[in-house]
Amino acid sequence: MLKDFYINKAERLIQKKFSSFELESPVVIQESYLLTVDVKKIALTQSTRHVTSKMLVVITANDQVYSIENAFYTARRQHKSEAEAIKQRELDEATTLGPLKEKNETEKLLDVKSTLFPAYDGVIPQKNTRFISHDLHLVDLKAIYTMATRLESTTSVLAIGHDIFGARINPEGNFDRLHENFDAKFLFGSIIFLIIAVQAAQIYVK
Amino acid sequence: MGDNLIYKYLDTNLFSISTYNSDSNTLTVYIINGVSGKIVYKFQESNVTPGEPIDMYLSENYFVLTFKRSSSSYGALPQQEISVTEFF
Repeated sequence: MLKDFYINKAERLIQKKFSSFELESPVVIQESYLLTVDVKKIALTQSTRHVTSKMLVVITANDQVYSIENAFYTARRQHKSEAEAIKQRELDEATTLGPLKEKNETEKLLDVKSTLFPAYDGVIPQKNTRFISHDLHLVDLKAIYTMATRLESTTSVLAIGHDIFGARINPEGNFDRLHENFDAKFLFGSIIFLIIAVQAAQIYVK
Repeated sequence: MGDNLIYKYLDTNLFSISTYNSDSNTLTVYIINGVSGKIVYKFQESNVTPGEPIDMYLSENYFVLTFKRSSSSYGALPQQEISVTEFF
């Protein structure tokens, strides 16, 4: 399916015209969660190529900046009943001969639920390592903004109020950056060593 | 919608507005297409605590709403909730 999409260039990839009037109604999924922190302002992270999943960054009632991973707040988390319904449908499809019947609205909703995320739970657990502002004592934050950076993995966050707080966050880890303790010396050393070794071997062979 | 490929519903003309009824403490949220004027989605939240911060954020196909909901049981404190809506 994915191969068909990219290699055979699905219409959606090559179309240049776009009209709000021609757009169908979307399939909408919605979930509510309880939070352990009180929230004043929220924002979602942005990225240049829109590949990295969005993280929710919030200003809490006591002026801390907290972040929630996409996997925890997404509406695509499965309820137990939905997981069962999907299993049942797969079983039905496997045992049905001939063309499959059209999917109705509720079945379309099941399609967008995913097992990639943890099963639905009403409360989003608090992770104290997710406070972007760490133990900083910030005062009277009023607004929060997010900006995409040139690196796909990284988003900058700016919280403004009496204090100004800025940070760089990586919603899905540093997948396009070298690790901080990456050993560049060792890498270049081994390349130079190999060049010398190849030259030496050439001389030896002659 | 494919078997294992799901498209995001993307339209840069979407915007959201919310209205608050202080008599019934209900918050109504509308997500509207600014070009065609069509209400793409509409929902209501009841028992919303008045005077507490409410914030909404619409980005790509995500709509996030935060508010505090008063508990129906006596003496219980209002709880912070987030409501996440996704369009596909």
